[in-house]
Amino acid sequence: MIKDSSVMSEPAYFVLAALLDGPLHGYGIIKRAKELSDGRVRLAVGTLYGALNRMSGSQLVAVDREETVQGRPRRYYRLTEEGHRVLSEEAARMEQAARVVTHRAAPWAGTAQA
Amino acid sequence: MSRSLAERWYELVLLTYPKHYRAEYGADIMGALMAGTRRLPSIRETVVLILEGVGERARGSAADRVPWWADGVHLGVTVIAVANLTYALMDRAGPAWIAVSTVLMLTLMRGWARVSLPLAVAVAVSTGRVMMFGGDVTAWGSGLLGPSYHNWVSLIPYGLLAAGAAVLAVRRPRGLRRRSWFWPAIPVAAVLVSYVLDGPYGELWAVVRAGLEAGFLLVAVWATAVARSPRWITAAAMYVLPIQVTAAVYTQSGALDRAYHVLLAALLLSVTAALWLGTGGRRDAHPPPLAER
Repeated sequence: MIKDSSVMSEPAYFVLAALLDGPLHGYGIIKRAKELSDGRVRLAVGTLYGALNRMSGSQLVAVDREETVQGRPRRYYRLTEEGHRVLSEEAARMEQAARVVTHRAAPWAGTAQA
Repeated sequence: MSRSLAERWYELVLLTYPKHYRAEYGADIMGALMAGTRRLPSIRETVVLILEGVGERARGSAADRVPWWADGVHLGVTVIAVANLTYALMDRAGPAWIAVSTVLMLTLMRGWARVSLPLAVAVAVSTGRVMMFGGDVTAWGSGLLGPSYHNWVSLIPYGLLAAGAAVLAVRRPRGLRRRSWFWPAIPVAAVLVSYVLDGPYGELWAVVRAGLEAGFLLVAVWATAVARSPRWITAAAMYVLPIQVTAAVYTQSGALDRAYHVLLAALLLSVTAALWLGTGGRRDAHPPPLAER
């Protein structure tokens, strides 16, 4: 298997993408990532917070505010400028990678139909 | 309102995380867990929390100021000291021997290298007294001095204990990590198994011992893979290699014994392999493949 450490994992991508529309708390990120990925990305809570911890360290996300709901603290996370930049770069990279296939796949699909 | 079973369980599982991490994220993690929860805890969430918690501890250890080799030797001698106390209790050794073994374990746990050195040397010399000074085993008063071995192979762990303690005592700069208070639970569990649930060195103890060893070695595999540090290889080798040498010199007859030694060897090799095959080298922005968990 080829490992490329410069490629962002799909779940990490959807964690960042979930925050594009505004700050969310942990469970909100899990639900939004699942929606955006059509159910493919089902984040475990431990995994999400491990990712948020590392992303905070890399300054991709930051704590926006904290509320108390039913006696529990609820922290909202937002995307930072650096997070926006990294996410946009990753989206552009995937778009370019997808074009490599889709440009060739279109005529092949046509031949198959004929 | 009383807390649910799931809440109590997750609070227990969160103890796998380091204290500072729990202070930072613990309440938030509990909130997220309970927001989407049912009455019973989820196995998937539990497994991931344990892996992440151990991984976080491993990354913290690797980032510590203590160099990997010193931390590895420290962990190795601590494990040997825990084993020494465990067998002292199971053998119902004399109070002096149990006291020395207990203090040795505690001083190593606290990272007091210079205090632990004379105790480690005393334990090594005492167990090797017949080999070093000759004479009859019974002539030395085993009630006070503890067990005595009449072959060099059995003395390898004690030699490692004394040598490791010496290295830690003379190294500069000083300073070692404090070990978890979890370690004394092992001798306590051994006494419980040996004298309450089963006889000394009975079948139940054999299973518990193999399970504990395999469990710790699996944790070492994961920690090495996550943090990409050889410290756990050092500690695992200090514990496992003497057992393997003993097995090689005194050939094991039973199939279960052979399986046990093959398992330990395989796990030690896995810890070593994890250094090269792990995920710790990946950038923070790109956590390990989350969806695969």
